[in-house]
Amino acid sequence: MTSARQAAHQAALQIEGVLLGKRERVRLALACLLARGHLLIEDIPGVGKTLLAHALAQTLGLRFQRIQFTSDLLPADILGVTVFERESGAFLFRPGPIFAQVVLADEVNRATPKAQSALLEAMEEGQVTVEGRSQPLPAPFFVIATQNPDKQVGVFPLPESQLDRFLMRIDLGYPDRASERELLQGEDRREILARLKPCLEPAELIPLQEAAARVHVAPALLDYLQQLLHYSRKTPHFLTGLSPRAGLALLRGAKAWAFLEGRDHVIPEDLQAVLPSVAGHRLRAVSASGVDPAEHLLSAVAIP
Amino acid sequence: MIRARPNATAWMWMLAVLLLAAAPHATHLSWPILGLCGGVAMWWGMGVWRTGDPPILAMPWRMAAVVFVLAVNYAVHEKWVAGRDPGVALLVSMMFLKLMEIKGPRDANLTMTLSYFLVTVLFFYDQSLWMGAYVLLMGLLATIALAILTRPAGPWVHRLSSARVVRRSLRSAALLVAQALPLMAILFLFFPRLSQPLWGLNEDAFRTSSSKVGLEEVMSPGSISRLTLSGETAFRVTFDGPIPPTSDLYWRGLVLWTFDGRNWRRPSLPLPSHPPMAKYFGPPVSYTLTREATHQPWLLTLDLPSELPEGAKPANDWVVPWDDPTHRLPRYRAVSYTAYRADAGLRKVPAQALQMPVRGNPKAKALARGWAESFPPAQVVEQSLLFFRREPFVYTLSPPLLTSADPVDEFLFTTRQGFCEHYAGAFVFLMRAAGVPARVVLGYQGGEVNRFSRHLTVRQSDAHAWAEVWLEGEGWRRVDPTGAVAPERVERGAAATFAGGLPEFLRGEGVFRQEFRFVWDMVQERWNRWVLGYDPERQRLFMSHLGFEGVDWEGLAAALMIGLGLFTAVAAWLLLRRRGAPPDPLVELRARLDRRLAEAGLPRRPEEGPLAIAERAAGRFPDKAGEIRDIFQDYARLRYGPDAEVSGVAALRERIRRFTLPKPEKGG
Repeated sequence: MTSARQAAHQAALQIEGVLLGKRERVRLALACLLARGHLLIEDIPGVGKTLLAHALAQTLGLRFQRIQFTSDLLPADILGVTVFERESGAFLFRPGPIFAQVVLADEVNRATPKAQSALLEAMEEGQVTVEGRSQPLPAPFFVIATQNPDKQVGVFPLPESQLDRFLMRIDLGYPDRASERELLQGEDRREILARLKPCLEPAELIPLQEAAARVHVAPALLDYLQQLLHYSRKTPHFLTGLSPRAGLALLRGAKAWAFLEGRDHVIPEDLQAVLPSVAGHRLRAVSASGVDPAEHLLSAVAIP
Repeated sequence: MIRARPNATAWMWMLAVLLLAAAPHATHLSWPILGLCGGVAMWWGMGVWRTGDPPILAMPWRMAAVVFVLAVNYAVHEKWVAGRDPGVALLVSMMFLKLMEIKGPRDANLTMTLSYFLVTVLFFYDQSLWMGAYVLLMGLLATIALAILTRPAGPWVHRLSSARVVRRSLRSAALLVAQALPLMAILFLFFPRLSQPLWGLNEDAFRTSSSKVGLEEVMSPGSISRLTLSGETAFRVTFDGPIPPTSDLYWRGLVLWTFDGRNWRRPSLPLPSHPPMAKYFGPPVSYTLTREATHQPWLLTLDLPSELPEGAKPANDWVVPWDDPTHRLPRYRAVSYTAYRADAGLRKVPAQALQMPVRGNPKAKALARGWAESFPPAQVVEQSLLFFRREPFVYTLSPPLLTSADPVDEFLFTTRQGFCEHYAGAFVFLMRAAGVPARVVLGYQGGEVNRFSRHLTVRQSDAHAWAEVWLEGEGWRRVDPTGAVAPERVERGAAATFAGGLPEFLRGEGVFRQEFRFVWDMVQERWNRWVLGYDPERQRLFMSHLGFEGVDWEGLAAALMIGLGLFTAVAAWLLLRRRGAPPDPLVELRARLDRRLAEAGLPRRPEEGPLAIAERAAGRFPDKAGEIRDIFQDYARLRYGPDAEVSGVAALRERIRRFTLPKPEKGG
């Protein structure tokens, strides 16, 4: 347990070394992975989305595949195809890029809904069905999708039901001055990435996820969580409240965060730390008042 | 509400309450029952002590125990369950047998609830103030035990230490008992009183003292001086007007006519039935007399009564027979005159007034005949008193035993030491020997005036015997030969006369002790008068004071039922509305921390978690940063962690108690 925790800590440090000045985001991404959730990174191109995905996969010693989503991408390009093999005289399934442990779905909102749904189904089921045959996906299976902000041209925004499939949505944002300076002075990120050594064996990740799920949740914390959920549902500020699935997601995220923080129990701060990224894409303010819905929710509910 | 499973502390509390509730019953339980109950209690207590859970005995054994109890009952009382003693024996033993089948909180609740009944049954044996206090205390203890047993299983209950559970339960039990007190008062005042006792209880139930001491219907040498050693109260009197002087306070009880050579008794032959005849002089004395519960079937009156309570009819020797089936505290009003003439116009005195054994006591008879030959009857009386006064008679509590066949002679001419029964008996003997009709009167003389409530307390130690002689034209005249020997006995009372030889409580040494005795006597007087003396008559009086005339007990019962039913319904509705788990001790602790921070000018924002506020406070008070972080980390660990141990909560409470922050500067 302790060594696993140390390994997770080590991994976080290593990734932070690649993605300069993004300590909290890196930890959120790691927590999302530990909580067996999928991660959506929304930001403009060039802030390091792909780099983060790469670094995560490499540091954790996972098999990595990247799918570049384009408007002409077909489901088969993601899932794989069945081809007739002349030598054996049989149909053979050739797995697509989704059969990896970490899948980077780059610019997921540039693809058509049909292609998007192929990916999202796989995320949900943990398996893909090609021509009537179910093919299990490897474990752990972690999708990092990136998307460009909605306002950009030529995008098919993910519907709410599909956004819900992502445990967390984070943005990366521009680096601060010091990090930017270091970035400009330092060596090529890609070279660093190539040198990264895995901190974990692939087999070690699953016990780590299990340990994170075992983090203790006290009744008092559940009270707080329920009050948050209740508020989101009854307040007129939001179009829709948080779903039960969102509540479960919050709890999973908070547990993983507490685990990364080195605690064996969840405290309200853990919940507060993950809430913007877990609930942010699930809440929609009635009017764009400029206040982030998640921020509003947090400030409106007192800790019991 | 979910109940926590009782722990060893709760079980032990239950056992302790049960033992304490049953303890006073021990005096009237037979020893096999006592052995059974004691054995079960020990076995059960050991079981709980070893395992923390109550041990359970198999059904056949429990059945066998019940059969055993019934058999013992039958052997001891010749009844299976009916009647007071066998019923109580069954109740007590069943309560202990119940221990052996307790599985969970439900059984425990039932047992504790029944223990109230067990305690109340104590009133069947004793209704003194002490027992009242004991029953009240046991009610509180049983309520505490119930509160411990039924404490809710909150998510945080495991964080409370046993001592804290007991303290909390004590608080809620005290509150419950306090709330029950007005209800008790209402039930006491309005619950229909019946003039017949329930369940055919015998007189013991209404005894307020622990032993049966009182005047006996036979007077023999030593029978009254024995009483003098008892400090028990015989009765109390409240006078409407001023209290007559002590030398007039002769409380008439029985008149003894028959002498067998040693003992004086009630007449063996019925007295001639003429109505009592008396003429009264001087101011009437009206008073209310409250007797300690007694089995004596006659009233005590101040010599000589003219008005008696309804239903009391004096015999012609002014003994007032009184048969009270309830044997409650007899309490009655009467009017007496201390100056009177009784039976003055009687033509023929009953023959019993001259009865005496033919044989024996020749010297006394000779002495009396000598007087009779020389003097008329009135002079004979004077001569006799002169004899007592002149000869060296001693009034003493411990006279030598009279062993000869002629006890009167022995007393009059040899020992010459005696108590009032010796003097009264010898005097009446002399009178009869001289042909003057005479009789012995048994009763009490004097009493002690309570300085605080102005009532008169007459104790068993005031028991007295005197004589009455019948003189032509004058009727029955009271003659107290004791007064001739020891005038102070009649003028100042027994306590003053025997200041040296009396038990300590009667001596009245030291002002404080005496004051305390007066106060205590007053309290007992009030208890007897207002609590035990609250009978159907007084209840009717009380109701008519409230404006309800002529309410019968059925109407009262119906009104009480409806009233209490409504009250219970409203109370239940109010209570059920705001039912919830009691507060988490950690929430209280956080509130205390919040207050501490707010006073230091650093109010917690409602959405601020423990570590966040700790960081903020540490930034504001850098020299306290370590302590602040420690406290909040402990709080977060205890509140949200998996294993919040009791000691941790106690330690945190202690740290918060000592934790101080500098106050913000005014205007800064």
